[in-house]
Amino acid sequence: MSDQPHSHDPVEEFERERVPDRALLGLKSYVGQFAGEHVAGTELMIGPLFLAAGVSAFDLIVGLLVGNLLAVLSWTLFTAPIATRVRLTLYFQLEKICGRKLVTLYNVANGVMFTFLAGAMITVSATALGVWFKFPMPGFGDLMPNSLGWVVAVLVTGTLFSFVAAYGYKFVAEFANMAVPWMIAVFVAFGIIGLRELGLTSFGDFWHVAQTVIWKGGDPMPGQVKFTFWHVMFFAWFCNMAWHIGMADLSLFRYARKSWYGIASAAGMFIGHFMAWIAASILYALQLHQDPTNTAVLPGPLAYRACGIAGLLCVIAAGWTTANPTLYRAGLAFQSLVPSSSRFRVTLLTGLVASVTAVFPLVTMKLLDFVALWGMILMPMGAVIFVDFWVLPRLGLRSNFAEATGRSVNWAAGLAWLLTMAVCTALVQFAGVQIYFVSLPGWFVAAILYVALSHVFQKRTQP
Amino acid sequence: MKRIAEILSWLALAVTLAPACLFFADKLDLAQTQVWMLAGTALWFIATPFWMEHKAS
Repeated sequence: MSDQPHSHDPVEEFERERVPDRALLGLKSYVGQFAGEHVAGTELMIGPLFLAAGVSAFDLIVGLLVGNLLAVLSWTLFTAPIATRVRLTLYFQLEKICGRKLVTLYNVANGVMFTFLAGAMITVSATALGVWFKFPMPGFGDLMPNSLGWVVAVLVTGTLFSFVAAYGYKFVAEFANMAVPWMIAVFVAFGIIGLRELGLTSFGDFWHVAQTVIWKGGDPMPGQVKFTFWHVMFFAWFCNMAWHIGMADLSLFRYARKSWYGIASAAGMFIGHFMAWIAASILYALQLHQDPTNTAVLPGPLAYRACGIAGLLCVIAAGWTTANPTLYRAGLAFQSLVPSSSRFRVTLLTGLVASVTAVFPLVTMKLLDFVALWGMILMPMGAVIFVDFWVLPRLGLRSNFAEATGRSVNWAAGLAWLLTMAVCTALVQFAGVQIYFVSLPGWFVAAILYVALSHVFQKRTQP
Repeated sequence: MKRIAEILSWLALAVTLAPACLFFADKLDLAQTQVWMLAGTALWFIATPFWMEHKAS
């Protein structure tokens, strides 16, 4: 998923200036970057969790096709057109609109979410150690650690990841680039082997097996929300909401020669969020088929059962290569609070906190909800950027208000963000709207609030 | 040298993926499949660093 931060910023420069024409990139580099970024350790959790949610074959396959298509269109029609016009990083663009202090708050929110996500990736990798060392690992729905071996394995894995993120980010980023084609091949193998083990002998029978053996529908497992077509579609669309509708990928697409390069995101969506999720789901179906009492969602044993040591290595690599940039980004986000602090120390500390969260499999077991929550929290700022760029000038209001007035906080943006989160939370808590859906009305709430509040604040203030 | 390494890498990908297809077609058993996949994995990580461009930031 990207369910993960993008480590693929082409170069770390032009942070406070427009990207010049000489630095622009072609379509091919975006296809490669997206394909690599979205085969992550967390895909191995998401696929099984769909199955645990009692999804049917039609709802899963068609829901993923439609949801991923909507995600691609969001990158292409929302993010890339603004990115290729302003050619600034998300943070610099936000600073112009919102002011430095509000951007710092946004950074902290982002950093916290990155930290929890890195924890989930550490959890995924640690499940591979459980296969080797045979210690008890958390069962399905467990929120607390259940053995000393698990705690030690997670902390050792997390500490190693943290040191590497702090010391050798670049090395792992290079390793990740190298590992991607191999990881994609192993994910495909997961699916093929899983299907054969489930009794499929001809691909012509796939749909029959899919409906009657793999995604049978019915009741979800205890503690899980029943997933329908709409759940799958909205989850696939919004799981990277922070990046497309939330506009985090302004930083990425500022290098794109053309705005239609947003369609390159299809490589990530249909390899990572279609093929990989389905393959991981098939592995979990195989486990349940062989032992219906074994409901544990543990990527290590799932992968080992199908592909042996190569599968385990894939789990470790998928977790490691995505936890690394996640920790790095979290460190950068927190470092923005105290710019004079050492990035090494901040990243290391962030990694250690992520490791402690990883001991408790809360985020991992609730990954579907966590990803939806992340989108909900960061989505309002995407609406603010969208409205600021396209709508405010047409209403006679000023874009980039903080920059124009020299303010450190644009309260129109700040209140739009906070009030939207409050409205979304109220909708989830009191109106029965599930978190997977709330970001769609939330976007319109944020957009309307930002227009209204900008009207109020800008009329009261002459820049 | 780079060209040979690149060819070996693509061969390694084939050796990683093809056993799964052969397992599906009942030409290999699961244990054999997993051994071949591990061999393909090893070859990939030995050969690929010699040619793959380091694009990471």
